[in-house]
Amino acid sequence: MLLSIVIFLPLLGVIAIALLRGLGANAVKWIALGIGLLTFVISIRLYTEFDTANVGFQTNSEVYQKLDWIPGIGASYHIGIDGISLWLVLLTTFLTPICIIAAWNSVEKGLSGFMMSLLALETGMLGVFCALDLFLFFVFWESMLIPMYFLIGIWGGERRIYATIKFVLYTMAGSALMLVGILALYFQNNNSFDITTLQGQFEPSNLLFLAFFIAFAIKVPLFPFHTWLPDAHVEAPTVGSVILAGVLLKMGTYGIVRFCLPLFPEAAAHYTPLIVTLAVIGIIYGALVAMVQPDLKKLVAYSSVSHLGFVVLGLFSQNGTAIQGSVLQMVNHGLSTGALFLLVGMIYERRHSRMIVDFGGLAKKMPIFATIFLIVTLSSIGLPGLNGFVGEFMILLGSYVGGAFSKWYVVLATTGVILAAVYMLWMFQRVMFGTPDDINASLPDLKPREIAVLLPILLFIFWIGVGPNTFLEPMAASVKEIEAKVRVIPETPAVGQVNQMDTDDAVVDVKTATLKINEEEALSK
Amino acid sequence: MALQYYLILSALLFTIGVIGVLVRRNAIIIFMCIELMLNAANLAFVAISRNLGTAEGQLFVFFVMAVAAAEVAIGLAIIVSVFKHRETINVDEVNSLKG
Amino acid sequence: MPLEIPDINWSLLMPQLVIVSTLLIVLVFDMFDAISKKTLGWMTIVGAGIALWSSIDLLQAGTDQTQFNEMFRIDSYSLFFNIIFLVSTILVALVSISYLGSGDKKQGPYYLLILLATLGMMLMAAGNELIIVFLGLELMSLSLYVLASYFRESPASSEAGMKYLLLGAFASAFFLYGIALVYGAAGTTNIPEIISKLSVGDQLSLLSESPLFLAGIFLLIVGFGFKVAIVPFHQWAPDVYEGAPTTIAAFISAGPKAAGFAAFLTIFVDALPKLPTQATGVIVLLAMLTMTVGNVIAIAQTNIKRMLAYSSIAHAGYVMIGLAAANPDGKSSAMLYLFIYCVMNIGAFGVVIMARTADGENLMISDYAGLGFRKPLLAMFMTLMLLSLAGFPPTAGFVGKLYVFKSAVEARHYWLVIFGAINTAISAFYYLRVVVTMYMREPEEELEFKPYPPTLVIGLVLAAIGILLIGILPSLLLDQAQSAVQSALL
Repeated sequence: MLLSIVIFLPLLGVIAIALLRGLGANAVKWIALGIGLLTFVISIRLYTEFDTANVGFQTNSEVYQKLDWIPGIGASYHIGIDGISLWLVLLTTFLTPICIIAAWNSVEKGLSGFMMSLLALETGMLGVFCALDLFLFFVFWESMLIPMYFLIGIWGGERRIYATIKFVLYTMAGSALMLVGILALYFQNNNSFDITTLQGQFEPSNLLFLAFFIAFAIKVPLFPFHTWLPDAHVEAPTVGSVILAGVLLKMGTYGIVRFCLPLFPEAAAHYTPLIVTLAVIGIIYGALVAMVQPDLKKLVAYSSVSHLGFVVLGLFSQNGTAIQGSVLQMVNHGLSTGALFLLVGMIYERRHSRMIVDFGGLAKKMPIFATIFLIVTLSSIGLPGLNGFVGEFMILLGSYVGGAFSKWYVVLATTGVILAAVYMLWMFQRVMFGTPDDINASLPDLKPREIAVLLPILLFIFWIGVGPNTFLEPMAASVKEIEAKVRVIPETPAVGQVNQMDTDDAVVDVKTATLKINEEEALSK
Repeated sequence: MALQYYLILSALLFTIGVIGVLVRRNAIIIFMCIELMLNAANLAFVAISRNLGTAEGQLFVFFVMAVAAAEVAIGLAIIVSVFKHRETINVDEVNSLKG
Repeated sequence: MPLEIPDINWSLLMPQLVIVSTLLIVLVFDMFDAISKKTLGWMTIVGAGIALWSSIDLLQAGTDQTQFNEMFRIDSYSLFFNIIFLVSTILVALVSISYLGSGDKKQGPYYLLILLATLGMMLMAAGNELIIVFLGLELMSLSLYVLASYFRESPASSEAGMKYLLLGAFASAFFLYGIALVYGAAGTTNIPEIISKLSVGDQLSLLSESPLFLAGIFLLIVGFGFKVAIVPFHQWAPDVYEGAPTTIAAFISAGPKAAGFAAFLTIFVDALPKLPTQATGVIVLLAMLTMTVGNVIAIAQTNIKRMLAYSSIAHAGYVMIGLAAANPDGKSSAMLYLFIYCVMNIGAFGVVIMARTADGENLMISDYAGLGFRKPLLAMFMTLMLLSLAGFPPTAGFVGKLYVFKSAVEARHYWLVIFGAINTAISAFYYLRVVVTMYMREPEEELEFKPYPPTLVIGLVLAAIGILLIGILPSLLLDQAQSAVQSALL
């Protein structure tokens, strides 16, 4: 029941807001926030009750649930979590109340509709991460499109209609293929949609793999399916961008971990060179394009393309460490990029511009803003001690040492880390340093509400950076299981445990060195 | 006489009807061509029925004749109503609906 | 020859008898000026409601019998279709009551014709004999020709009526000639007998390759193709929908299409596996063409009624997928889809009727700009109907599509399903465009909308509840459709 409550509580909030919208804007906000926080608090119990020894899905009856839904076609209401989905569920329940607070005063029209969309979106996303029935999964996967469509389309920027339609059509084209794949699996799975019983060989495995993979690759988005993302991000309202980058994109990578890899290991291995090439192109391309973006939001959007390239690289490495890193990196990216979008949104509310050239010298007038921005920027770059480092490091290390592909891919991908430092710090320098003009000088610093939005994220940025084992341990068993399923290459020597990684000084040195170079660059300008 | 002659005749009548519908532009003439098609079917029914030695086909013809009569009544009424508005029943000129 | 009068079990004919008596009552009461014309609408609703109730009753009793020397079949298949027709009729009547206004003298014949058309549909679904199907088809079509041209003072309505009449009668002639040829080849017009003659034991019989028979089958496909508006026999549909009174457009798009498919499915789902494979190929090709052409042309439409017309063409294509699958699941999925389609399409037309100003209806999609915040109820209904038409979960449209696709995958028509799935994505584009217009664009001029008529709101609420309920708990309907097909197999 616990998990069902977490999933459907936000939907209850939607109904409550629909019924009580007459009470005024404040009531609507507080209801939404209350529901959001309550969902988060309840979802923490998913973590405390989590049994790390359990390899597959949690068997605890509080979490695992299976009820007949449409017996006529063998679909059931079947939910549960494992170490991978746990973190994505928590990420979702964590980011939603933050988004509600972030949107507190920034929604001008249709506030109740906004909050309803946000909460409905939360239910959809949680459902995707928890569904253990392909039919249920697809229902959540598709239904989450509608609130997102409204969020971007109604509360978005000027070209919102173009962006929202592009977003929906891209996703729908992908899910159309996935639907065919799901139906084909259904008949090979004894007329059942049950994910837990899916195993063995599916024919034609390459085509089925692609049917699923393309749908997820569009969502990730993997180069060259990424073109919807910058449009959607730029036009979406701040909160929409946070959810989009924080959670929605993870649905793509989650789908890869949950379906593409364990169900079609051979097809996955067959396409690995192609996919990894695309991922590396995405890493470098995203970074290069981010570097020349004049628009802050577009910059962050393209940095997402680059970061998620790392995640895909790690997922296809057939190496446990790298896969674990990828899963952690999903959460990291959700936190750092989410925070970046929030910060960009806050500065946009003050300056009504997102163009980097319009800014300069903010650090003097807005010290709190600048500090937080710096921390988040460093986290996004992957500074040791912050969350981004752990994930990226594990991905690169794991796929370098035990990856199923040439080491050159990893070397090329590592340049992405350097490029990330370049574009992020260069952006930071242009926005924060220098002498402020009159308008920039008059901008007020962050209000307590805004700090309250950001502080919880900062907490986790540090926590994951310093004590990643809290997060890595629960997912270890699930990742191992996936690794065992996908491993078609001969066993390679396992890499040391994660908590020993600090000992690998070489790579750390490279990173800190890069950082130093960039800081020097920044200072010299 | 063998069945096929009747069927060939009915097929010819039917084809003439189809061509008439496709070629002629006057609504009344189109309507007459449709009647011709129905009667071609009637001819086929009667001939087949006779050939099989069952009464079913003969019976159907009565139904079809009744239906055709009803169709004519309704059809002419509608065509008259169109004529009242447009002063023409050329189907190419009655074309206000398109998109 | 001694005349045998077959035993007739009148209780099995309850739904049809109720409709006949209702239409007689409507006919008589129409003569009294003292009776408000709205009452006639309510009589129609009550009559159709009783017929609906008795259909459900018979369905639950598991009735499976034939009447009138096996010409008329009362089994769960025909009863399920009765439910589709009667639900459509009730919804259309609810929507019509306010649409026609109470002062209009001509309402008696209007409801009379709707009931006659409903009776014709019920005959089509229950027909066990091609000639009964033909009579039902004609009864329905003749009523609809009149209804389409019902607004005599409107040139558009008359024109719609004429186009519908000419093409409809043309199609009927094809259909009839097809029956004649099938009769000539098979020696009977009884549908189960024809199908059983197609095979001898496990082998296909000579009949299945007889040119006369195949020509007849081809003509039947053409005739049905016109009636249910599949590409390339669809040209009449947009013109008729645009010109006809909107309530009638809703009616034509729903019940008659379902009725056409009811007969189509009866004949073809069982016959297709016994025909040369080219026949299945033709159906698959028609399904692909219908979906694609319908959806692609719908994108270009600016008039909402025409858009819905092309969308309903595309939906016929989805039903054809179930037909092409030609397995029990295909049949029940097509039935389920038709039910869902009828409810959501009438709902969409209902919202078009709801958006009325003093000048009449607002038919251009651009007129809907800004309704999302100024007319939240209307916009909400429209959004729900369109999302369902586009096949988003958790609406009924999604369940329908998924089930249709599933049956086709089972029959290994993978390409057909991929086509259908891609078409779903295309269709989302134009459905969502209306939603975009409502919520995301500012209106060019402030339009004064008339207040919502209560009966219309009741109709839409019922449709909306139906769509959501079936979307969330599909078993309610799915089990019925499946058992309807299962019982026919036993």
